[in-house]
Amino acid sequence: MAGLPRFRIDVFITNKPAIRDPEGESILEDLAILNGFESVKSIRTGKVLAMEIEAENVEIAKSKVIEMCDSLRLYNPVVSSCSVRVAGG
Amino acid sequence: MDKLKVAIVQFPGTNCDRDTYHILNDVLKADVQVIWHEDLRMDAFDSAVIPGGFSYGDNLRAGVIAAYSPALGQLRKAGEDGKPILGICNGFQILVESGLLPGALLRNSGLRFVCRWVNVRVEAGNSLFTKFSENGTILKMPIAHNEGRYYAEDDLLASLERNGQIIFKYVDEGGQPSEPSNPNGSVSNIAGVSNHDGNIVGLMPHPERASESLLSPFRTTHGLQIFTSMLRSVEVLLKR
Repeated sequence: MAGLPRFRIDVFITNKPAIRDPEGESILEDLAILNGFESVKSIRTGKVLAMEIEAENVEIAKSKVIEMCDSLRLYNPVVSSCSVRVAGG
Repeated sequence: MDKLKVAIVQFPGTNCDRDTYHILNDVLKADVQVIWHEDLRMDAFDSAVIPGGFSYGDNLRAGVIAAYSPALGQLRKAGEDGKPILGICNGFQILVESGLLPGALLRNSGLRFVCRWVNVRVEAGNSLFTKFSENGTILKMPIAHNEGRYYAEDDLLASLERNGQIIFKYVDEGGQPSEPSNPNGSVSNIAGVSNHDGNIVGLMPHPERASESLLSPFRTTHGLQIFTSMLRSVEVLLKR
C-alpha cells in the first residue's frame, strides 16, 4: 500500500500591526532607506516554519497544520498572527 | 510546624536553579528541592519557583515549549489552590506562555540582550510576594534577558491596573517610571505582574542574584524581600 502524499506547507508568523517591530524598523531605516531604497515604506520581520506533512489531500494537510498552530501556540495569539501557505505538493 | 516546602522547577536549559536553591536553602533555611519538570507533583509542595535560564534553548519563543510540560498542569492546579508561584525571568516567560499570567513578553525594543542592575518599584505592596516591601519601595536587582518587553493591549492593561496586578515597574533613581529607566520597552515600564488572585507572580529581574550584599554593587539585599514574603505567605496559607 502506498503511503499518503506529502505536502510542503509554510507557516508565516508575524507580529500584529499594533506591535512594534524594532528589527524591521532597523532594516528599513538603517539599511534600506540609507542605501537608496527610499521607495520601500515598511518592513516587518517574522518567522517561517517550513513543514512537510503527509495527508490524504492538500486541504486536510492545511487544516492539520492550522490546528497545530492554534493548539500548540506555534504563534502567540496575543501579539502575533499566522498565515499558512501551500508551498508544493 | 513542618518547614515550608518549596519546589524549584528545572527544565532542560534552566540555569538559575542552583542560585535560587542557595538563597532559599542556605540563606533563608527553607525546605526546598530542585525538581525535574517531569517529576513535579505539587501535592508534595506548598509553593514553587520557576527559575531563569533558557528552557529548551528559547526555541520557537522563550518559554513556549516548557509551557507544554506536564509541570505546568501541576502548577496550574497549585495556583488554583492558592499556592504561591513565582516565575523569574525565563520562569516569567513560561508563566505568560502557559496563560497562567496575562500579556506577552516580546524581544527587547533595543534588540539587545540587556544585562544590568535596575531599580524596580513595588506597585502592589502587601501582595504575597511584597509583604515585606511597602508600596513605592525601590528594589535594586539585576536583569539579564533578550525577551523582556512586556506587552498588554490597552483593555488588558487597564484591567491589570484596576485589579492591582501590576506588581513591579522599572523606575529611575528618583523612583519615576521614566523612559530611560525602561530597559526593554515594556508597556508602562512593567517589570512584573500577577494573576487575578495575586498568588502567581512573574518578574524579569533576578531577586536570587540580589539577595546577598556580596553580590550587589550597592551592598543591598533587596531580592530577599520577595522570597521572604513568599515564605511568609505560605505560612499564612498553611495556618488556614
